[in-house]
Amino acid sequence: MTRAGCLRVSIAAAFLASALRESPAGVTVAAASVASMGGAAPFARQGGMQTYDDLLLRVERQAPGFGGMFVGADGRLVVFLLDPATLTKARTAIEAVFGAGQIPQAGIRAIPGRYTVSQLKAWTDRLNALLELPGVTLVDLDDARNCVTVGVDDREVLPRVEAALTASGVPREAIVLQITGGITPVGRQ
Amino acid sequence: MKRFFVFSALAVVLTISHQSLGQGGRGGPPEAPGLEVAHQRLLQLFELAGVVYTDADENTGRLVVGVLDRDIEPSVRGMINGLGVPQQSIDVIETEAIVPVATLNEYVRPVQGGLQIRFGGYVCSVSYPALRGGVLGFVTAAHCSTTQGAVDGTLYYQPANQIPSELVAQETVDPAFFKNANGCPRGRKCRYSDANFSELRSPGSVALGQIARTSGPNNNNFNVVGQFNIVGEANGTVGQPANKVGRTTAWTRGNISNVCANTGVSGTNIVLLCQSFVQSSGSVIVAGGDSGSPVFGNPDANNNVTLLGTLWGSGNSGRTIVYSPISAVKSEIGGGLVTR
Repeated sequence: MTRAGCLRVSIAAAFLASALRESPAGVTVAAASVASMGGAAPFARQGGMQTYDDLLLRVERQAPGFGGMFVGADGRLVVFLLDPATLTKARTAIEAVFGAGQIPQAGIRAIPGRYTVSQLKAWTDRLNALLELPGVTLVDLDDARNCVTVGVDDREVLPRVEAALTASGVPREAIVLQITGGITPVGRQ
Repeated sequence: MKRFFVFSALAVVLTISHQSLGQGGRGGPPEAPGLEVAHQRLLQLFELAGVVYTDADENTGRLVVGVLDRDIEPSVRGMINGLGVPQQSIDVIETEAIVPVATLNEYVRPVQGGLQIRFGGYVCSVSYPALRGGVLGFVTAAHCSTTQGAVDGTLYYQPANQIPSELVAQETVDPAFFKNANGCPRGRKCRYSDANFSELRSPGSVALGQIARTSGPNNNNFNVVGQFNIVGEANGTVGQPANKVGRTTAWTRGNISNVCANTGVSGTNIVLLCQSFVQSSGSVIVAGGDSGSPVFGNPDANNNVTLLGTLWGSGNSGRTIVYSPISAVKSEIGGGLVTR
C-alpha cells in the first residue's frame, strides 16, 4: 500500500499490479547508508542532455503549482495542480513546452496535487543515491502519481531502503516504495 | 531461403467467355471430373514467364489463368490452342505475384526495425534504420554488442548466418559509461541509453523510417505484412499505449507506466538514467532476443507511428518493458541522428 499523502490515481499503465510494501517498523539505520545519503549530491544536469523531467520543470516555471501529468483511462490528459483552477495556464505551458500534440483529442482535466514538480525533482535527485544500494531498481519523479517512486527488486532490501529514506529527510508521505522485481537487460538469445 | 515482399495490388478480370466447360461439351452445368482434367492440361502454361497460377473454379465451372501482366494473354491463349482445352472456358486475369511471406526472423531486405539480427552467438532485434553524419546504418541495444559502452566493431548479420551475403552492419558508435558525473550514483557507471549505432556494410539495404509490421499486437504472429512509418518522435507520457516489434515476441503492446526513471540494472553496477517503462496487465510483451526493438506509439490508419525509443530491459515476468527514450539515444549517439 502507499503511504498516506501520496496521491493514488487510477491509471491503467502504472505499476498498480505490483505489490507496494512498507518496511517493518523499528529498522536499524545502517551507518553506511546514512553516510551515503548524507553525501548525495543533487542530480545536476550536465552536457546538454535535456530530460523529460527538465521539460516538466519548464512547464512549472510557466505554470506555478504544476505537479505532473498522465493520460487517464478516459483518454484525457490529467494534470496535477496545487490549484486546479489554473488549468488554462497549465495547458498553455504544456503546449508551449511539449507542443500542441501533447494534449489528446479527448481533452484535458485537472486534479488536485500535493507537490510541485520542482519539489519532486529535488527529492528525486536526493534519493537518486539510493541506487548505490544493491537491489534498488529505480528512482522516479513519478509525475503520474505526484510522488517519488522508489523501486526495489525484493522485500529483503526494504529494511536498508527504509533506513536510507529516513536519513534522507524527504517527507515519507511523498514516496511510494514499490517491489518491481529485478530489472535486467533482455537476454541475447 | 531469401524472401521478398509484395508491393503491387491489382486484379483486373478479363472475362473471355461466359460459357462453361462441361465434360461433354459447352453450355451445360460443369462436371468436376472434366473440369479437373482440363485443368491438368494447363500445367504446361507455367512454361511461360508471367503465369502465376491456374485454377479450376468448381463454383462457376470455369478455368482461370492468373498472369502478372495482361500483355502475355496472347501467348497464353496461343499455347492453350495446343492443349485441347476450349478457349471459351478460360478466364485470364491479371494478378499480383504470389510470394512467400517473410517473418521477423527471416531474410528481409531492405532491413527495417524489428527484424532479427545476429552478432557472435546471439540474436537481437533492429531498433530502427538511421542516418548518422550522413552515413546509413541502424540503431540497436548497446548490450547487443560484444562490449557494451565501447566501440568494438561488432558485426551484425540479418537474419542469422554469419556469411558475407547476410552481413548488414558494423558497430561504429557505442558511447562509454561515465562515473561521478551527471548524477551517476557513487560506485556505479551510467549512461542515458542502452543503444549503439552501426554503419551499413551492405549498401542500400536499409529502409530509413520503416519498422516491420506484423498482423496485430499481442497475437504471436511473426509474418511481416507491411511496414510502420516513423513520422515523429516523442518522449511518451504515462498512460499512453506503447508498442514494440521484436524477433521473439513480435508486435506487442502495453501502456507507459514510468517516464524518466533512473534505473539500476539488477546484478550489475550499471545505472541507466532517465529510462521509461511499459507495462502489460496480461500478456507477456517481451522476451530474450527482443533487445533493441523499436518502441513506438499506436499507429494511425495509415500505419504512421511516433517513435519513442529503444527497448533494452524487462522485468522478471516479461510484462514490463524498459526502453531508452529516443531523445536520449539521439543525444548520446550524436552525429545528428536521423530516424526518418
